[in-house]
Amino acid sequence: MTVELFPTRDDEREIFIRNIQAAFKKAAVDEGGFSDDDEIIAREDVIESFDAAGAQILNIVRAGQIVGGAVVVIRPNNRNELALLYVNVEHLGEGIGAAAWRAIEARYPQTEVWETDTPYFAKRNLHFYINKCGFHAVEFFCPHHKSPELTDEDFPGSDYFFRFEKVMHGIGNRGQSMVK
Amino acid sequence: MTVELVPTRYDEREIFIANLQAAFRRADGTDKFHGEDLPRFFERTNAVLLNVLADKQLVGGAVLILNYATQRNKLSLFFVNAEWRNRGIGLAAWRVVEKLFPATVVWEASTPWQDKRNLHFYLNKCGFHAVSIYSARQPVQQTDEEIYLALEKIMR
Repeated sequence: MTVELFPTRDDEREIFIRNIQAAFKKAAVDEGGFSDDDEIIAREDVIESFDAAGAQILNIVRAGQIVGGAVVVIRPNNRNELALLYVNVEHLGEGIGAAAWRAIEARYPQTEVWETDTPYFAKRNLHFYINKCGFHAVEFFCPHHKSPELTDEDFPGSDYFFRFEKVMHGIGNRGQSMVK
Repeated sequence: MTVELVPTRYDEREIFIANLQAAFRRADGTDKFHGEDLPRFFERTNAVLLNVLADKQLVGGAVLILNYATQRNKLSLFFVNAEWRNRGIGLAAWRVVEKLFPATVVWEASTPWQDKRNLHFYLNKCGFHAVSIYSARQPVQQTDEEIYLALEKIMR
């Protein structure tokens, strides 16, 4: 399974928003005990991700068809962030997520550390990030240990979630990139 | 409060096991270690048993499985007695474990996914990373039971 990544055009952003809202809702209803009426990721939050400094919005494309999307934040210090990742609900279980992650790694080879996070309840995501993509859960945000980045705009699942890191480069590679 | 770790004497094993079972029963409501032959497990794995003392009082215990060849060592079981919790003893005891075995390359541990208190302790306080999620029975997406996170702390 291979997928391709293409920058999301401005006129494709609505599709991205609609699909990611559906995908996040499915996970929250299936695993987090949320109801179909709950809004799991607000439209404004997706747009905020699009507009963040260093953000790149990507369609995940298989055989010419958009099957998912991602927002990555690429930073000058090469500590990059997978801000959003989704696979269309009708394509879950087809290996698209893992293929997309491999493509993202290949697209940003200068990355030293990838960061992302996911709610505690989302076991499917935990399995995906930890077992399949090789991330480590390095921090557990909970009422005794709140995320400094989380302010007033709580989202469903924001009371318990994990922060992940995947370290890509050893010291040798870092030295190499300094020479460039 | 002074926290120390001292080897559990052979004649202290019974109280060690009783405290361990009480602590785990309290943590997840199951009788997980009740039916098991812990003395045999300790023999088979050549486990190191340590009493956790706070101001010279017995307040908990640790079971370590050490591999002197690889120095990939395991914090197999770790508990603080119920009446001594919430005083920072767990973290203080873990720091002593680290100091007692400075040759360790990697410390391994595991914890139930359900146990948020442990997740906070191991990830945020002790500096472990969760490196694998697994269930003994079926894929983790399909069950809420007996899901564990494998933890590692790379020391050097």
